Amino acid sequence: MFAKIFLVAWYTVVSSFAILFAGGVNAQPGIILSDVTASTGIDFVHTDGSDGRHFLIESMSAGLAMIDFDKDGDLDLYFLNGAPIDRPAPSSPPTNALYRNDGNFQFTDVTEAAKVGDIGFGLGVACADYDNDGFPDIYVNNYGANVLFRNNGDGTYDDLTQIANVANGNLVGGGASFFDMENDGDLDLYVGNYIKFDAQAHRVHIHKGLPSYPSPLGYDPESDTLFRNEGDGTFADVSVASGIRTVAGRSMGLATFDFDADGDIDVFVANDTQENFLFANDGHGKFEEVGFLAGVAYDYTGRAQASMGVEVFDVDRDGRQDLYVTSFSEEFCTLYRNLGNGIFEDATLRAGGYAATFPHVKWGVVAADFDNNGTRDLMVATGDLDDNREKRGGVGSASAYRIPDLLLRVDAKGKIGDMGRDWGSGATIRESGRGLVSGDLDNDGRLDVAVLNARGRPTILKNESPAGNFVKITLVSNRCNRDCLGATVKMQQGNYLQAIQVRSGCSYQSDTSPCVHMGFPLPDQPVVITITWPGRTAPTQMSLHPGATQVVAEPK
Amino acid sequence: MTNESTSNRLTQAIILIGLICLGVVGYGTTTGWFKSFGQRLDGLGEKSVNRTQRSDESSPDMLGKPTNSGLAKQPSASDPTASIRKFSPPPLDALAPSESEKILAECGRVSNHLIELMPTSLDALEMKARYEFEFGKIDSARALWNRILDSNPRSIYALRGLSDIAFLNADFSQAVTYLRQAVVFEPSNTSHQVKLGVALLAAEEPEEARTVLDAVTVQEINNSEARIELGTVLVQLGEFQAAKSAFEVAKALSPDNAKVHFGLATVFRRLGDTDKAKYHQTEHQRLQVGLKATLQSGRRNYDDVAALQIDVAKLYTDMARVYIAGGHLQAAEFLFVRVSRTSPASVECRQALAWLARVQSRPHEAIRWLRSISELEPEEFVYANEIANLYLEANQLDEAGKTFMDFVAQNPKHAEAAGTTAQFFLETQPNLEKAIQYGRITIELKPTGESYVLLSTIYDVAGKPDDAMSMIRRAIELDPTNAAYPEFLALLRQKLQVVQFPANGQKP
Repeated sequence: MFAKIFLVAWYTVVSSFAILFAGGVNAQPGIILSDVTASTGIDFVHTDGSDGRHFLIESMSAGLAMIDFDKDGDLDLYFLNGAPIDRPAPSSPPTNALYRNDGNFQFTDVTEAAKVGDIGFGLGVACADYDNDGFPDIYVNNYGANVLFRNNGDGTYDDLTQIANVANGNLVGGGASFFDMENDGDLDLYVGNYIKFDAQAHRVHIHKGLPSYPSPLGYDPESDTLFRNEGDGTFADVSVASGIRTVAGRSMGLATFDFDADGDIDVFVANDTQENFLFANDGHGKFEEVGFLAGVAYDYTGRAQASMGVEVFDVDRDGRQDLYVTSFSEEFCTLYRNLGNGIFEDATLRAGGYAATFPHVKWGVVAADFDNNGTRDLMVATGDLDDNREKRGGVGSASAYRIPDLLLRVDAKGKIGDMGRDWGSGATIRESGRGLVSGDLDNDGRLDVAVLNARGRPTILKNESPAGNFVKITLVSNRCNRDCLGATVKMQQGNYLQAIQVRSGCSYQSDTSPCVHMGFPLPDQPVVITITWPGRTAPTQMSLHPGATQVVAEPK
Repeated sequence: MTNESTSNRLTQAIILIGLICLGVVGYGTTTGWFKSFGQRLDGLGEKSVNRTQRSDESSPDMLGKPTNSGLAKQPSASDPTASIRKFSPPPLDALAPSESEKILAECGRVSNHLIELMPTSLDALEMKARYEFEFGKIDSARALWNRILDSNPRSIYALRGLSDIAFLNADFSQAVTYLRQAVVFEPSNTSHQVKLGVALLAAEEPEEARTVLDAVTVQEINNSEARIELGTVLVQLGEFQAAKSAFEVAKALSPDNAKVHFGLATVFRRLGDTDKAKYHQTEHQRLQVGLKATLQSGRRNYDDVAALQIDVAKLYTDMARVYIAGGHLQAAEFLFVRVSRTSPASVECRQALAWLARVQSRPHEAIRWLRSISELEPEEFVYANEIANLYLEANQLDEAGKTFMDFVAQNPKHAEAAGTTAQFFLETQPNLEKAIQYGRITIELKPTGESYVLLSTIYDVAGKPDDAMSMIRRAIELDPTNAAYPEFLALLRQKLQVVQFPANGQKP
């Protein structure tokens, strides 16, 4: 009997220690993203204009932008909207929508006042100060003629598409990005084009008895467009001369960044159902497609994925920019780790966290240090494009048209883990997510999230994670492009190093503020910041304490 | 209670227990309950029908092509005609549906009908599981396959089906578990091992994936797929030289496999040999051009109804086999007839229908089906041969001869057919003129010793000894090592001598 009592007691003690120990190991600060959409005043509802004929373009939905359009110090939101295809627009056509941030997660619809309510079928958006007047402009990549909205600085925009010569014909758009390809101080414009599409030639597709979207493989790919900024408010189409027209793809998300650290900005294009492209810039506006040899064209099995969105971030904190690309269901999100020397390796399996992504169709993605602990985590917008998925037979039950988004935690060694549903009320929202961006909407030092959902209201998530320690800087320049797109910012605190490239165009056909926000684990130790300015070899070094928010001007 | 009464009670109890035991034994023996119980204990499960094979695996023992020696082999199971069950037709629509949802609904009804007819048949459950997996609810498929496994833990189909579901749900560890079992139960089937290797890599066990795939390359040295997967694993392990070796062997086996060139480009790039990496990139692109064009065309022209009919036809073919195994031949026929209508190019269902007609003593119907196959594969002599044999069995020699002659007329370069026709007219329906004609054709098409011997025999029977000997001499020239030919020649000479110089001394 005494033996039994001893055994029970011993077991209890050991179990308690085990629980406490396990709890202690796992009791790291959590990430809490709370759904505050209903209280924001945002009443935008996305439409794809569908009438049941299932045009492929409708399934793409759109991206969104998070920018401080009025330069009042907080981030505003611009949502793209769809439109009816192959039939007349209604008397009150759906438009894109601009919401001004009034603080404290309150937003006001200023679309009409700002004159940015484009009625085209919006697909992608890029925002940057292309005329270096201090105010961010907006470029909308449509199905049909694209639109360039120039910011007048007074809360309004003018449509200068024709003057700038950037309408880009009657193509199906994808992502877009402003970048300075020649380091001449002017922001050029890369425009992704998706497929050659003719609405008149569309036929309704049925799959296993139910209407479905046709496969993008059934359409010819379309080459992208590159506009060079002439510096006088106009752009020249240099697509052919630049070399990007040697290939044709089905562009979705894209990213402009210096993959080989040679001082000029290159272009990665996530292509749908075919190999991705990586255009290496020679510094003079000539590009060579090197995706295959660089190791970013296919996944580790040699398969072309249905690539959708892309994020550029330093997953292993080695100072080099890696790529994280979202994809279709029954495909992993792929992590391409930058090895230097212009080569990437598919590090998806080694990094982990990929199983959670496999069953879903994935779209927008951001790498953001939500808990300010020094490592950037990943949030992925999910939602099947098949709106009849739940009714269709012979499909897995793990995914759905409307499904919660994914949050993947990245640890100090670059290992990725799925946070499941343990990250606040944001984890319970079931929508068909597409564009996804992050930024500090309430300026509390924590990165919040906005998601554009297909055929629905957007999702606005307030970051209520433990505050942590952060440094936030915004670069400005009178020499290079004003927003310093193309600058590289390295931030280091002890062993925690992060390299961030200031860019335009991100995630899935979306854009966000060029502000650089990074978290750090130690509250008292200063952060050493090294800024490499576009077109300059001599970097700037400075030191800031955690909690600092600063505008950094390029020294003369 | 006295000792005597206790003893009596005990005796009565023993007797009662003994009677009960006898009753149980008797019942168990007569119903086979013991046997099934024993089998359950052994994990083999009850098998009231023979296992059938899937349509993606040939089934020569039941539906294979007839051979020259006769009709399609009889099924290895006991003669199904001996236990033909009462006819219960599968619930097919009168006309093959032309709308997708009706095609699917009908297929679902048939899968349910199978189970109603054969509630204890694991094969019937397997068909239902496949229907659910391909067209219905994956969760239902999982439940059905688990049910099959409960009865038969060795069911490869259930293990592979469950592993597929685990893959879909990204539960790679579970997929590994199922595939390991499949490998244990079917160690000679390397496809399980290759799939296991892929699953192990996805389950973050690359070293074990390497071990498994290595073993396959030893077991099947010409398995290029295993080498490609092994190369992929080795790249993930950072062992680029070993990966290069694996991909190079794969390239020797499958030089036009784009994945091989992708793998080689990857390893050469990592090894710093850019020139070779570029070469393999070029090869990869070259191979992709045709593939992309095919994919694009397929997607553009995708026809849901046509695609569904093909998929359902495959399932119906397997379902029909289950009907056959359960003795429901007429039900199987119904299903095969449906497949023949929706899949005009399906040889398999027509072979099955020919066999079913044959075993149910309807030779002319069998002939009709064989003719339809020969229209699909007009160059295949085996069907003409079977048709002719059926005519022979029905004592319709003229029809048999016409069948042979028609085939040769349509396939004038088919030496085997010409030879068989010559033999027919020599042995079965003697017509020496025709025998000589086809014998000569055989020699023209296939001038071998064998062909010359055939014609020699014909000449001999036709009373042309000189020609006969000439043919044998030619056979000897062509094949001097064949000891039989000189003997034939000697026999012919002997025969000729007898003819010329009969034993009675009189001149012929």
